[in-house]
Amino acid sequence: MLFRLGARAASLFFVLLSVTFLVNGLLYLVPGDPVDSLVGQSVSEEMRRELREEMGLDKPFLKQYLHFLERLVHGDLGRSLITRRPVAESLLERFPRTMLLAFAAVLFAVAVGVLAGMVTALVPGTLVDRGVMVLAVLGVSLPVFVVALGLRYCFAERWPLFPPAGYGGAAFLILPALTLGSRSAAYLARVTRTTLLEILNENFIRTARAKGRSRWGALVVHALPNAAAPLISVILLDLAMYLNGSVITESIFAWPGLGRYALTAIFQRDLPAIQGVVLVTAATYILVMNLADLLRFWLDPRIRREGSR
Amino acid sequence: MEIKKESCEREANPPPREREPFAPKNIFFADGRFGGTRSEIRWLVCAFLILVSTVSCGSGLGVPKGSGREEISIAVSSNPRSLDPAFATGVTEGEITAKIFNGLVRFQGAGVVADLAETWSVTPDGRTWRFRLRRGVRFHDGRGFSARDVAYSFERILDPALHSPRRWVLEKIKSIETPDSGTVILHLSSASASFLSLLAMPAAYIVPAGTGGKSSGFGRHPIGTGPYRFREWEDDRHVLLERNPDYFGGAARAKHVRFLVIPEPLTALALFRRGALDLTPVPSPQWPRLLSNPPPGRLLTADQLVTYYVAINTERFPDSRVRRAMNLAVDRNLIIEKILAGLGTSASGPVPPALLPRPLDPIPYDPVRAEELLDEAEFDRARRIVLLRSSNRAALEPATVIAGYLRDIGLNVKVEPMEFASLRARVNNADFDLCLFNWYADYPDAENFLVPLFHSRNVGSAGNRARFRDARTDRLLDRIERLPAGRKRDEAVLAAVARIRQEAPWIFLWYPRQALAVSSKLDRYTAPVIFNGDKGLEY
Repeated sequence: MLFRLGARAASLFFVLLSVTFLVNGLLYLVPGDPVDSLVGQSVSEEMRRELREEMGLDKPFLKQYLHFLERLVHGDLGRSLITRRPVAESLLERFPRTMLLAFAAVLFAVAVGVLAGMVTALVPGTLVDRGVMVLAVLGVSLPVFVVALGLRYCFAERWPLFPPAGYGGAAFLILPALTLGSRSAAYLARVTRTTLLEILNENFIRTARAKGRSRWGALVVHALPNAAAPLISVILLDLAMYLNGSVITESIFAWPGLGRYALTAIFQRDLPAIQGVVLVTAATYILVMNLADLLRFWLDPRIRREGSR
Repeated sequence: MEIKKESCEREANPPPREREPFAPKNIFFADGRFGGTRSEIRWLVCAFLILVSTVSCGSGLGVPKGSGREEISIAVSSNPRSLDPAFATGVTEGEITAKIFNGLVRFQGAGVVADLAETWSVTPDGRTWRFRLRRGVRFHDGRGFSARDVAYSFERILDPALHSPRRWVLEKIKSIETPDSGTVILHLSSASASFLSLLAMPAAYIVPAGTGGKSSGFGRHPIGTGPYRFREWEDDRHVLLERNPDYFGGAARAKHVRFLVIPEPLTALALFRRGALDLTPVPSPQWPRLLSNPPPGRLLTADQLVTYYVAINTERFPDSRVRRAMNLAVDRNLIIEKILAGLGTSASGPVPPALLPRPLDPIPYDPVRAEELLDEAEFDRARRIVLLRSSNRAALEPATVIAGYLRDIGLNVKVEPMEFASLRARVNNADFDLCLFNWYADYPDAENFLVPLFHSRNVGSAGNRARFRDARTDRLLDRIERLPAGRKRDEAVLAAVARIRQEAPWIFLWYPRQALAVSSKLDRYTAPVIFNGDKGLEY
C-alpha cells in the first residue's frame, strides 16, 4: 500500500513537470504577445522591445523555462505580466469559488442523477423510465450555453426566482450549479440505471427479496453499494473536471472563478498566470483521480484482493 | 370497514408471484407496478420547492433595492488590468480611473476644459505652457495637492524605468518647472496643437508624489483627487468606489459606484432588466429587440469617436486603384442597416465627422466603377486574398458580408477567423492581406485618427497596420502636428483626409453609434463622446 502511494506521488511529480514543460513550449510557439494586450491599441516597436525585455520574453525558451522552475522551487508562482498581481494570490482567491461551484454542481448531479437512475431502474420500460431517459439524453447532448441560457430565461427572467448572474450568497450559486451539474446528472442517471439493472438480476438480490426485503430496501441496501464503484469513478471524474474551472458557465453567470482567470490569461498570453492555472488544475486533476482509485480500492474487495496479490 | 376495504383491494390485486408462477426474467420487478413511491416523489418535489423558495427569498436575490442614490451599478466587459493611470490603456481602465483621478484638464464633449488647472496660457511659439493650479484640493488620503505632484506624476510616466506604455502621451515635455506650489510650467520640445488634449488622457492624471513604480501596489489601491475614491476591487467581480465628499467640484450625487465585471452582454441585459444594473452598453444585435420590448429606464444612442476599417496590406496591394476598387465595392449603408441595426454612420474617411472642420461625402457604393478600376490595374482576380477577422462574435457578420461584396467584383476573398492575440501578431509581422480592425480615439482630435494610423514612421504595431508609406501624406501629417489650432490646420486635416481617401490604404467602413440602457436613477446621464470623458458627477 505504501509503495503504491509512493509510486503514485512520483508519477504525480513527473506528470506535473511534463505538463508545465508542454504548456511553456506551446505558449512559446503560439503566435501572440503579452505586450500587445498590455499596451492597448498601439505601441511603438521600440516600446515593445523595451517591454519584452522587461518581461524577460526576449530570452531563449529553455532559459525562460528554467527560470520558471527555479521560481517554482522557491514556491513563487510569479506575478501576472498584465496586472502585476502575484499569481498565487489570484489563484487562492479564485480556487475556493470554483470549488464551491464544482461541489454544488456535483452534489446536485448526485442527488438528481442517482435518484433518477434508481427510480428508472425500478420501472424499466414504463413511461416514467422513457421520460427520464429522454431527459437524460437531452441533458447529456445539450451544449452548456443552451442549458445556461434556458435556465436563466426560466428562473431569472420569466419567473425571477434567482439572480441572473453574479457572485454572492447561495442564490447566486443555484443557476450556475444546475447548469454545470445537469450534464453530470443526466449521465449519472444513465449509468446508475444501467448498472443497477445489471445488479438487480443477480442471485443475491433474489435471495434478499426472498428473505422479505422490500423493493426499495433491496435496491438501497444491496444493489446500490454494489453499483457504487463505477458511480464514484464517474462522479469524481466530473468533479475533477469542474474543479478545473468551467469557462462557459463562469462567463455566462459572471462567476469570478478559475475558468475566467485562465481564459483571460490565455487571451492575453499572460505566461505566469497560465502556468499557475495549469499547475493547479493538473495537480487537482491528478489528486482527484488518485483519490478515485483509492476509494475504489477501499470500497471494492475484489480490486483489493487483486491488488494485494 | 376499513379493514374490509383493504382486504378487498388485496383480493383485487393478488400478489403477482401467484399470478406468474414462473420466475420472470428479472425477479426484481416480479411484483409488478412501481407502487407506493408516488408519495415519496411528491415529498421530494415539495422538499425541493421549499429549498428553492427559502434560498431565493432569504438572499434577497442580491438585487439592490434602489434606495435613492445609494449605489449606481455599471457593467464593464472586462476586469481592469490596473487602476494606475500609467498603465490604464484599455476602455475599462479609462472609464474607472476617470472617476478616481483628475488631470490638469479634462474632456468635455469633443473639447477640453479646466480640471485641476484653473487657467493656462501658452507662449506664441506654442512651446511653453503655464498652468495655474486650483487651490485647496486634497488627495483621497488627505494630502494636499500642489505643483510638486504634477511634476512628479509627469516625470513618473516619462521615467523609462517605469516602462509605462503610455509614455508617448507626454513625450513632448522636455522639462517641468514649478516656480511655486500653484504654478506648473511645461517646456515642450516642439509645438503641438493637440497637447492640451493629451493632457486630458488618463496617462496624464495626477497621482500623489511618492507613488512609486509598478510593484508599489498603487495599481490596485489608487489614490487620486477625483469625485470618487477607491474602496474595493475583486478581480472579475467588481470595483467599488465611494463618493469623495470633499471633491473640489462638489460632491457627486451617488454614494457608491460599483463597476460589475460582466463578460457576456446578454447577461448584462438580463441584470439590467432585473434592476441590478443602472448602465450597460447594448450590443447591436440586441438593439431592435430592446426597442420593441423596452426595459424600465431609458435607451440612448450616442456617437462615438471610433472608426471601423479593413486594413489593406499596402505592401501586397501596391496599386491604389485596386484599393480604391475595394472601397467602392462595399455597400456600407446596407451593412449598417441590416447588421448594425442602424447603429452607425457610413465612413467618409478615417476621421469621424465630429472631428472634421466640415463634413465630407461618404464613400459611394459603385461596384461597376470598382470593376473598371480592377481592369485598369490589370489585377489578377484569381489571386487568393484572405480577410482576417478576430474570432469575436461581433466581427463575424461584418467580415462575412464585406468578403461577399469583394467577391461580387470578382475578387477571390476568403475570411479567416483568428483569436485576437494571434491576429495582432500576424498583422504586426505584415503577414496578412486584409484585416478587419477598429480604432478608438485616445483624445478627441483629428490628428489621433491620422498620425498614428498613416504616418510612415508608425508602420506596424504603432498603428499604421496597412504599412502605408506616402511622402505627401507624411508632409501633411507633419504640418498637422506642428500647426496651432486654426484655419490652416483645418485645411491641412482636410487635405490629408482627401489624400488618404485617394490612396485608400484602408477600406473605410463606418463610425459606430453606441447604444446604452440607462436606469431611471441616472436621470441626468448623457453619454460621453470619449470613454474617459465621464467623471460620474451626475450619477
